[in-house]
Amino acid sequence: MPISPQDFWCSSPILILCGFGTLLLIVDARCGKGPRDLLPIAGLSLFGLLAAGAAVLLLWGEFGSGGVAPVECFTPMGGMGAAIRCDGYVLVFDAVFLLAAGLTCLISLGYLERMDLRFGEFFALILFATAGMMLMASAMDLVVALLSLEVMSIALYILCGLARTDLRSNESALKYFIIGAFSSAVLVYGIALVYGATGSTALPDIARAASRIDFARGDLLLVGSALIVTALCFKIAAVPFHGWAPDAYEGAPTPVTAFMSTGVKAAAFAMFARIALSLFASYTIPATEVLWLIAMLTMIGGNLAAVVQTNVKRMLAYSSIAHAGYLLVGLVAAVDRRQTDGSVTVGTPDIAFYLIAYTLMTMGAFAVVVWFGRRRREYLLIEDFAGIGFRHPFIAIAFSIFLLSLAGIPPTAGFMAKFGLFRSAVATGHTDLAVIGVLTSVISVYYYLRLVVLMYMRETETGITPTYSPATTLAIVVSGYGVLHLGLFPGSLWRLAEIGAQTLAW
Amino acid sequence: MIPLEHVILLSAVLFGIGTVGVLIRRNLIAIFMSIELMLNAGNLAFVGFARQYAGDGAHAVVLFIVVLAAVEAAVGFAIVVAMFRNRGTVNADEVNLMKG
Repeated sequence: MPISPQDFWCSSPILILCGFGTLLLIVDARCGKGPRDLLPIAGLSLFGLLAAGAAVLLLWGEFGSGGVAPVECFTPMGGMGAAIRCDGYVLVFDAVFLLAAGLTCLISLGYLERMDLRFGEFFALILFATAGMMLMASAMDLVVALLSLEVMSIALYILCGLARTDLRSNESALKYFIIGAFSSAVLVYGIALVYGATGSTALPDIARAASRIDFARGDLLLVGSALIVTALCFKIAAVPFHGWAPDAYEGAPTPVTAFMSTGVKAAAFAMFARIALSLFASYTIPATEVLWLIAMLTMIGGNLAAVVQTNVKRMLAYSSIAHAGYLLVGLVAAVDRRQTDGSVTVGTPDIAFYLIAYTLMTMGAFAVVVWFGRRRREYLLIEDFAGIGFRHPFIAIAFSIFLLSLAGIPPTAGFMAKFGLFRSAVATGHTDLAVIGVLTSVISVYYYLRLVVLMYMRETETGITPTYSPATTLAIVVSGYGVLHLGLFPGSLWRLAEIGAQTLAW
Repeated sequence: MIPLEHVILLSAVLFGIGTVGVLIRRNLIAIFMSIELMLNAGNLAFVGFARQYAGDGAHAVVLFIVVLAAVEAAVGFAIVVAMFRNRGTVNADEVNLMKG
């Protein structure tokens, strides 16, 4: 089938981001060498993100609301499946990625200038990584999924190592790169084995073939799926594949850490859900048992390790591992229901909703951390935040809201999101997982509230003062509003996530 | 004609050697070479299966993966060079600023 104009229209958010990314590189090169004013470049990248957001909205009007059937785009000749797909599920995730990228651009503007990292390519790389995330969410073919994962990852390796003279940034980029390249190699081999077992790399064909596979090929499918799940667990930093994450998160420039723990996680889960629902569409592989185990280990391991941290960035890194565990609970529910009656609407909307809430609250928390950052002294120890409640009441209130939301306390978005995940776990008979989730959330309250207590309970004479930055303020206000709005009035967004999940079926 | 089993067995052995190399070698360049070996093991498996299924598309996948390896090499070596400039070492065990 030749490429039609509709293919371009359906992938327009991705194309817009790639176009703006290239434009940013050209503009940046035209600015000459040396330190530069980042404001115009950041403005242009925000404009690009807004343009992509407008395209997502227009596409939602067409395909997202379910009025028009989802479209399969870029179907190559020679009997292979479509490369990508435009449906409500993709568009909901596109919005999450754009939100994460937009907030990252806002918080990085002042930070890059203070840290003397005046590189214009930062914004271009953010845009390219976002385009890769969108491709990941829409990939309908394992090979496209692999390539889009690389589009995202390679941009992020560079972003992690952006502070070239900083040893920690070097180390973070190196660890992220080695583990990322290793997990892609595992993914490649897994895809090859799944292709060998089913004769196709297209997800719908794999789902069809997996349901009537004979035993000899079943072994091949089992090993291939195991390798693919391993590679994706590296990407979402699930225990026991999480060793790289705290180091990579701690060493990277803080806005990049924020982007990694929100956008990358959302993209990896969007892709993981789609692949898992195809590979494990029928009960030939004991997938739920394995995912159950990983979810349990991740929730317990991430929360316990976060308790003993003294560095805020590292604590948020472990908390991000713990949140991956909660999200895996939703995935277990989704795969379980898929195997029982083939439906895909349980668990998946909760994952999408959780990722929106998680993006807002994590971005907000990182925005506060970024706000206090200085050159040579980043003020990242938990002790550094003592007494802020008295000296900077508004920041302290915002930070407390984000931390309470991360702990899952009402009336914040974090509570509603966790509630949704655990509800679908119970609905599919995984009450044990929901119980572990609630218990580990109680552990998490300890280390989140410790920061709040320090801010309000201990008075200090001297301490850190933030450098005022309008863009960071805007990011904090937007995320704070989002967290409270989703906590109090989750209905409309919940409905969007559900509509998105309904169009997921293929 | 070489049977499919032999091709797949060879690719599995190569993948195993690559995995062990990543785990036990301490030189960053050697670790990176082991990762390349794993990617090429995947390529070999793809080609073997593609011949069995007579699928032209899967042959093209190999080209994608070769490009992917080249792109990873470009970025990876840039990171290793930046590291070497700051620290004067390419030993993975000495990359240990952050712990816990």
